[in-house]
Amino acid sequence: MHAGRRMVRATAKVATAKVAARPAFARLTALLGAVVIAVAALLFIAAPAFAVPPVSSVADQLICQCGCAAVLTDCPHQECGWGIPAKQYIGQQLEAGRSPEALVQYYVEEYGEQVLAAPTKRGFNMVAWVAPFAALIIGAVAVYFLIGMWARRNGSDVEEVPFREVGLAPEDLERRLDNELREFD
Amino acid sequence: MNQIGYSALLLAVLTSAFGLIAPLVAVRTGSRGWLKSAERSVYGLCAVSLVASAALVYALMTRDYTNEYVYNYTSNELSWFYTLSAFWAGNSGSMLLWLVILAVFAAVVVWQNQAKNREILPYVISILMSIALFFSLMMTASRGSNPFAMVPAGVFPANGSGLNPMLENPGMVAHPITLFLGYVGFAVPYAFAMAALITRRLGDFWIRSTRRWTVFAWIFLTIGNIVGAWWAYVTLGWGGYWAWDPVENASFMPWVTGTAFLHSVMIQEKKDMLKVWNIVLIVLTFSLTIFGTFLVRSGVVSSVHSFGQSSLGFFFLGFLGLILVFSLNLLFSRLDMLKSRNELDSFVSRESSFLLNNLLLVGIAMTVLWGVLFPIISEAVTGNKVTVGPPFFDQVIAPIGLVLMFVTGICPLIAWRRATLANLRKNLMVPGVTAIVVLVALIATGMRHTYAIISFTLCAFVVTTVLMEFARGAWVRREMSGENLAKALVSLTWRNKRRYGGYIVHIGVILFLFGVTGSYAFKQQESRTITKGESISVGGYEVTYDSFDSYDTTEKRVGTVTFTVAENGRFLGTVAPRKEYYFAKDQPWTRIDRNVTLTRDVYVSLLDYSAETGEANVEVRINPLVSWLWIGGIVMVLGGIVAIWPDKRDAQRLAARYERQVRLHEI
Repeated sequence: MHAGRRMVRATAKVATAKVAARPAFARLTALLGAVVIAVAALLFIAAPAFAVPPVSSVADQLICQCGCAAVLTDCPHQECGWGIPAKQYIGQQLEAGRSPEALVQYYVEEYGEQVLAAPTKRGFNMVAWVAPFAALIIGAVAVYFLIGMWARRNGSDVEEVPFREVGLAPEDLERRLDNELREFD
Repeated sequence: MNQIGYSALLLAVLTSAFGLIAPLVAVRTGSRGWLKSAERSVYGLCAVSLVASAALVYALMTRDYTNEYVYNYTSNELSWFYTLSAFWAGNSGSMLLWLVILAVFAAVVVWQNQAKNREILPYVISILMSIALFFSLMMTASRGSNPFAMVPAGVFPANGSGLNPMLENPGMVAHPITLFLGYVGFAVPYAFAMAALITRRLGDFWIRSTRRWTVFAWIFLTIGNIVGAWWAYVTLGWGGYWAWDPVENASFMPWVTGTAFLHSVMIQEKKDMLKVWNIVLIVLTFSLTIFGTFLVRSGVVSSVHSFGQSSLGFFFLGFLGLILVFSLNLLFSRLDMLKSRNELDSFVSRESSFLLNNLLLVGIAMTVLWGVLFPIISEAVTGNKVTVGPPFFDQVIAPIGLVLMFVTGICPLIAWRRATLANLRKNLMVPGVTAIVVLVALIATGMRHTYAIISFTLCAFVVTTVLMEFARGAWVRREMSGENLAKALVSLTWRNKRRYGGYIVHIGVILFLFGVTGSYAFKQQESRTITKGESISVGGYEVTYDSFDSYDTTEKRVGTVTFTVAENGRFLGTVAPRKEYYFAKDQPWTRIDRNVTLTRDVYVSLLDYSAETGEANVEVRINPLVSWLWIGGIVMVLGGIVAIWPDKRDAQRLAARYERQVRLHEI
């Protein structure tokens, strides 16, 4: 009888601790999330501005048309007949006050969209940008439900599993190490 | 000698065809004689492909210019070292390299399995020999891929065209051979997987039997990719090491899926789960190695690395289609037998984190594949040609990679089978605090590059979690054995090679990403024409023109400018980049030089010079933290070697498990 009461009390304690831990963890997660977003926003706001954009602001967006298939900035041909004059032209135009966007547009009009180092984020090209993330999100949702299903099938619930203490007493560590290595091997 | 080489290739066709059929006859008839013949055919293939290789080496070293391949890739002036590397400088030589590596691996597999895996060995042989048949057929049936094709009759060239100067680098000697060792290495686990499916012996023994092969292939694919990056960095002269070129992507994709496979097989070994997924992963990995070989030879995508446009690529595409149809058909026909109990003890467990890691790794591989194929898809759908280059990959892969870094850090903190959120939170404390301290320090010191800040923070987080694992384990060992901490650390690692080898690999990956982040986010460059005594200043470094020298050899004209490198007036050393002009190929080439420290490379290219005026057009780049890429690569490989190192206890466990599975008729 007493043993039964102790078990009930112990279960209640664990349950109370779980209930208390959940909002605390949620608050911590929310706080961390807010900090990360705030830092990211500050960093973007604090990004330095250039008086005259460097040649790379345009050359990084273009593919060299010499046949090397490299980004214009990184064309490996030291005497490239297309890349070197193009970079000089871009430099002159930027100095003259032409914007990087206008220069990129100029090259698109001259050579077609394939001169761009990456697809535009318009029309069918959006598929290129969206598909990987969409597939990953769908995959993540599928993995989430699979893990949930497999965990339920085993009949165990994470919150009911007592925490295996690690990192404190050497004997606990030893036990954990042995267990894990045995399980691992 | 060419005739001997070609005859050896013809024999390779016959031997591999026999090796494909004989094991199947052995299974059908139950004849031990046929199986013995099949095994000997593997040794026979190994012998004839070695003879063919020796014949090519002989033709190269003796400068037999009646051999078209020798004529195209060597010259009288080429050193013996690079003459040897001309073996794999062209398409047909690299095909022969594929064949000989595969033949040697198949012979090792047969030798290793004389007393085990006898039930599945015939199918393993048959599959490996079918791959060998494809390669030997390609070399004998197509003149363009025959390394023993002759120049037109009556022509006796006095000198060859010479090797492309960009291939005259130790990196390009090692890169193809290590990459191929990786590519072909994955054929072994693939063959075992297919054999397990065919024989319906679907326990985890095929995974355990080929674990070393998988790690071996992974190690060499890692070396191949990193040496390739190093070669690009020191040879191509553009100051970078990775350009998301389709051919680079082709060797990166199987590395990523192979990494996913190495992780997911642990779940099958521990939990008897993910059986279907593991087979999908090894099929995908092997298919991607063939896809890479196809890309290099097809000309369907533009690449600085490709062997040019040829119809050969489409044979590879056909072979790839055949592999996929065969493998997936076999997989679907065995789906009911591959059902796992699929039970997890907990939602929060290391198993779950492995699933997430697999999702991200395969996501990265498929994103890269998507990027490679999108130009073809776009043109087919809209008729509009587009290019998918580095900005796309940087923007799409980087966020996924950062999440993967986070998962890599979280993983060791979560116990196998089950863990609570409280447990996780507790274990997160030290690495989390470390990461926050690093984050604050980076921002406080003025860093403003968002990705770099996140990446460096995650580097700190992951390294802390892994070091904590080592520290905890070593501490326990010290308490148990009384050893000092250093000795405890070594013996801990040595007694659990697989686990701690894996952690060493993780440290290597993080060091590598540390270098990638620094060199990507903070590189600076300046190029200008200067004369003697003038300087170029970039990022606090001064590169000053000291002297000029020019001389001719029989092969080339060489111009060298020596520069002094200084930081805020403090002398650091000299660099001497060269500009070369190859007479026979009418080709100029630049040999860069660097002043290297752990924090940055001062990377100097001599773009052009005037022998008359002494003027030099120079490009100076400051590439921060690049050395950590190579250090990270070395650590990754060392970790792989630790994980693969023979372990008597592991062998005993494997033998006991094999016996148990035999008793249970699982294999």
